[in-house]
Amino acid sequence: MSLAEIDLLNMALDATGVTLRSKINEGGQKAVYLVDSAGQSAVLKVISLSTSSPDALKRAEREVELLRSIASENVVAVISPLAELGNPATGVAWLEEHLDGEDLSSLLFNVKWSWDDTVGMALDVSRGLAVAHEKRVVHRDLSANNVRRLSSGTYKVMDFGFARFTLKSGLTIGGQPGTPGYASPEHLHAYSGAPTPASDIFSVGILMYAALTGSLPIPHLGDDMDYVTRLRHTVFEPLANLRPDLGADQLDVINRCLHRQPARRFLNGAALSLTLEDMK
Amino acid sequence: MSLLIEDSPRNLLAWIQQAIRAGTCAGAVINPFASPWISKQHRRSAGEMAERLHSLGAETWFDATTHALQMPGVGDFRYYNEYSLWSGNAGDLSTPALMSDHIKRVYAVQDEISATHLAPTTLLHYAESETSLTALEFAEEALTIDPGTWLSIAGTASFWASGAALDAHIAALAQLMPQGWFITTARPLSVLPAEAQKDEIEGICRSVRALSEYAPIHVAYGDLAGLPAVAAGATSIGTGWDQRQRICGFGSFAGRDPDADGGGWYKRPILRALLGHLKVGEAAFLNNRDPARVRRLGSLPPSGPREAFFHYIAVLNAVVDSIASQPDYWHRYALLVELYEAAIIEWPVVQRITSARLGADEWCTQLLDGLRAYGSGEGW
Repeated sequence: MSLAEIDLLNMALDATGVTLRSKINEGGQKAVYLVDSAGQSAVLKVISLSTSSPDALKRAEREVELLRSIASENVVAVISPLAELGNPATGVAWLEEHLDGEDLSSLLFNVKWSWDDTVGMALDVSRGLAVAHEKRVVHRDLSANNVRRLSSGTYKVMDFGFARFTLKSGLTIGGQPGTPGYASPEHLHAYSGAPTPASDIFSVGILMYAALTGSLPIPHLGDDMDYVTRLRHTVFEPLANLRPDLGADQLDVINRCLHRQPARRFLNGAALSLTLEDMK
Repeated sequence: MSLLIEDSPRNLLAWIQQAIRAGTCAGAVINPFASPWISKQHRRSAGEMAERLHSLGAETWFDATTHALQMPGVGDFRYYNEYSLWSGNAGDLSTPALMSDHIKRVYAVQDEISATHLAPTTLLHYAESETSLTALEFAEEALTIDPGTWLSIAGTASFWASGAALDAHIAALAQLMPQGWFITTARPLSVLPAEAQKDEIEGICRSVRALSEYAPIHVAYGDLAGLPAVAAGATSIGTGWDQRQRICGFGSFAGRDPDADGGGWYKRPILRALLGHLKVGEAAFLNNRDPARVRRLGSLPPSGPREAFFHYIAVLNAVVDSIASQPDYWHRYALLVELYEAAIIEWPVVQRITSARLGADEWCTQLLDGLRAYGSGEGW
């Protein structure tokens, strides 16, 4: 850990009033720690800022506040306000509930899931998104890395894209947060065309496709331009070819999630969860 | 009934009333560039027009047509300034407060004439820009003030042809879930037939197809060029007797219309199977030389501008209704493709007989190409 990182961590511990137990992981500009918060386990997330436009920080603060007001068994609980570290800010930090279980990324790609298991996962994720969408919060960066299956079998959505607005390295060419392989076509756009709740639905479609087939519909194969072209045109192997056992209604729901036109998808988490409830 | 009569400085309320009574149009759209707020000697006020429309149980709309203010050459303010639609300079939407103020003033006019709320919008040339973001914020504010409002989308051909950026912009608007939509294509040239392009028509169809799942869509000034949008799910199109009611051209909002009779389009008859017009002389010549063909292609109206207009909207209304009554999107699409294909076969013969300058290339081909491109995207 560099001196700068140690400084940032110390500022984060001070700002949130917690004590360090251990480091969970670190990647790029984001570090995650297990901490003690008034005798309870919690997760401290610390982000080193490479760009800190006041607008981006303001937006992140607003979204953290909105997420703090969400009480859903399918969304990780944010338990502190966003703390700006330093003046001018060189980092931000916030606290979340500590979750057991494992990330969805370790459960996909090894085996093809059943339809029932897939719908169960997608239903939990879409219910979690529904509460956020109701508050006009768009995740913007839904991927297998930020959906967690708890030991109880419940899925929780984590890491809404708010913080990644502050990270240059986390932005796609449209200026949006997003993970290659899980982005929507709107991630390539800005201004009025930036991601909406329907973009999160595209990512749920990706998760369902990946669960059922063991592969991403539009994977990043190493060449950015190739990926962008396939993403822009939503070119992927039809699900029906890979899972001929699925019925037309089952294929339709995933194809609708993955529709190239965002307005042709389920418009938000609530609309998708309503349909999935009927299919369970 | 699938037609709304757009407003015109050459107002003929009696014609509108007659069309409503005949069941060939559903109502009318009033706009501040065409109708005064205060009655003139030879011009009824917006309030009087609305009252007459309401008395017939007709749809009554007031489109502030704010998007005309961004058209080059706009200058016909002979009635506009009577409406008090701005607290500052007309067209100044530079702050959220100014946006909100304008929307409230538009709603106030609509309330005064008991018209459904229809929010103003700005003119777009591309779907991914600072201006498109302003249009989205404008729409969001309009819905914040009245969640029951209809929204407008107005763009030039290049806006509707902006591909994936258009899809993303439309998706952001779709999230707002208004009660309905007015969509407009603004054209630099006020000429008929509308100089529609394949990519623009495809974009309109794609957008209409998506938005129509949730709310009704009116294709303002759509006229014959609006038929592909009807095939994609639109519920009504705007038309009239005057060229300025059949096309949203920049020139329609400029100073005084230099074309005194609007090209005389109100006199030109339509033959249903051609999906296009003939000049009066051409139609008479065709009827004289080949009356059987005229009967097969539809029918011609008795002579006179009033007769030509009522015949025209009856034909247009019948075509729109036949498309709109299809059971699903595919059948709507397939029917219009069939109508265009049939018209494209007929036009060369009609042109040979009449020496008409305008034919299938001008009336049908680009619209059919755009429609087919939309169908191709649907896997049809």
